[in-house]
Amino acid sequence: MRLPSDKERESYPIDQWFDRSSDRYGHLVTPGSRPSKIGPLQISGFAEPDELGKPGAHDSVIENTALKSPIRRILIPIDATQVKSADLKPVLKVAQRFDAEVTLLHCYEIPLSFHYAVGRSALMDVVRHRDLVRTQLLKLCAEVRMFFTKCRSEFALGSLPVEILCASRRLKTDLIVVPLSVDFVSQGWTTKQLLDELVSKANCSVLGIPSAQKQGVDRFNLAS
Amino acid sequence: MKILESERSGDRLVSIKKVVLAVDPTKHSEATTRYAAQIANWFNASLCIAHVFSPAPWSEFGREDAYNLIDRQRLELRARLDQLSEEAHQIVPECESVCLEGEPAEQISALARDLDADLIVITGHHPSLLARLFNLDTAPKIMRRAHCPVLVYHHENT
Repeated sequence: MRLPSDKERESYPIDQWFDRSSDRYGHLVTPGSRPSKIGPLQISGFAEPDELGKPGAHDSVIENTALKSPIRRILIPIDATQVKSADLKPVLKVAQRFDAEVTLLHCYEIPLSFHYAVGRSALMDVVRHRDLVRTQLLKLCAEVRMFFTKCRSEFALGSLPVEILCASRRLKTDLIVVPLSVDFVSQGWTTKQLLDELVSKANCSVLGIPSAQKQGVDRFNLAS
Repeated sequence: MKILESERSGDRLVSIKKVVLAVDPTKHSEATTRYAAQIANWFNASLCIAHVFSPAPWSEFGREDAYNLIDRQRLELRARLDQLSEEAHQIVPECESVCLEGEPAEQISALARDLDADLIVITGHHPSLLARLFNLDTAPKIMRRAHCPVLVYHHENT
């Protein structure tokens, strides 16, 4: 990249010379080093090789397709109070195959039983319960990291689908994984409703993993 | 949260050998095909591109012209599907295309079962309020019927 001369430096602020935008991983990206978009690859209109031995556009496209993982960040909404690290192993194996980072998201909702709590200790109980759940999430994340290092956790408060969608946009995830075998403890949402909501509103891909019980004739009875 | 048998279905997901791509050749099909091809290529799996042609209900009562129109539509979609298959073949060596007729969700889930597919890739749309009210979106229907994991791909423009 051409560096500005002293005169040019005086007349323009440095931020105009260096595009200080960052990529999805928070790395500083300058115009010269901006990585190519990972999204859909061009496969039409291939160019012929310019010189003998140099790869043409076609070769580079195929090479890119072979090297770049289509999924780099995965969001897994979980209930940290019930899920064990062993339950996440299948999804983590997939993440490993994609060489992707995984974020475990727990969305905390105050249990209904706390709605009837009264007195001075009521608020403290809620806070204590929330902290307990958060600790469980951190513990789960630590256990997962024992066999899958690219894992982190997020704790959110609010409506389950809203928080999942917000986290997905904020983290720029490529995939949201919802295991249908998992029954989320949510006051207003079943796992199927949650999946429908995510499919219709998410900006990234959504993967629904059916439960093993679904295999068989009875799956046709689940149709709407 | 209850864990039923996620381990078993998850193991199936890990060993992806056959991917079924349900595609509507008229909308954002190229991007979805490339995405599915990349996924299949990543797992060294084969790709089957499927389109379900569902003629309008009035066509049963139409005259000869109507039948000709439907035949023309069918041929056009078949040609488009072949084109997509050729494009995907650049990324995935093992690729085939299938054109089916009937109710999309039913046909795709049946095809996936017949082929013993490990993954279904479909395009997701952000449906309108009416479409959601009347349950016209195909993606959730396929998700409910499929025996294997379903990946709903959202294109930037959908």
